[in-house]
Amino acid sequence: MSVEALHRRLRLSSLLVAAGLAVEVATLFWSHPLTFVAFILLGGSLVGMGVVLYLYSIVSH
Amino acid sequence: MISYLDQGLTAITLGLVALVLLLGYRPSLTDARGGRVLAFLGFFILPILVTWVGTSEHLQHSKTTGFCMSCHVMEPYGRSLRIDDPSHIPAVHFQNKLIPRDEACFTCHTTYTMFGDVEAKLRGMKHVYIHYLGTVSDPIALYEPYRNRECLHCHDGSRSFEEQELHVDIRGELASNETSCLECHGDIHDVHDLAEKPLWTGPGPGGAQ
Repeated sequence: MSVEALHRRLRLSSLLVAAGLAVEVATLFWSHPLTFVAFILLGGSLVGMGVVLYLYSIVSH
Repeated sequence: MISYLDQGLTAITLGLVALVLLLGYRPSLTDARGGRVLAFLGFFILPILVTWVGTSEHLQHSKTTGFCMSCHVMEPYGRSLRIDDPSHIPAVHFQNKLIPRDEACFTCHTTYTMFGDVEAKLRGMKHVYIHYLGTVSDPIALYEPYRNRECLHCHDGSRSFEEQELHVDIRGELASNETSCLECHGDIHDVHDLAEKPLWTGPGPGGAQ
């Protein structure tokens, strides 16, 4: 994989991880079942996808 | 009120977001060895760590009385904790601090086993689904008969429990659930009969009125 392609994937990974972390931190301010669901399903999924994309990028580089 | 741990976690997470966005904006930073280490921390280790700590914090939040009461359907059950009636079991436990007021629901409605917390949380997820997409039963029913273990977790071995001869006589039956505690102590959350009863005005969870 070219350096440009790696950088492109890192950008996408960065957006996914940052968005996931932002969702996770936002949900900490409310104590409600829906915030728990949002944390797990939305925040956790975004972070998970970002981490997997990052790992895939560095092992395939 | 947000806890110190939550405040710390928020600060760390916001710093991590800034780092991740910087690495995404300038991915060439990862070309150097130091940048690669930073990226490994920022894209992998720290997000996993923050998510793990955040999950733990959410699980702690979900044990609080306020969390349970944040659903409209639970309001009458919250009210039943404040009934001014010494024969009403949940009210006596709540008002006399026999259970922590901040975790009043969870203390009696989890299973005291290795995976009791996990089981309670999975059921909680199901409750969210039913609350928004299904039909909530009225009154709310337990999945299975209330297990004595949840009472004996605190009462077994206590003086007031042991000094009751009947308790000693049927200890085996209580331990095996052959006889339910609720057969004698059955005044529990009968919310439809409580509407007109006076309420205790003492402090609630976290000292709130």
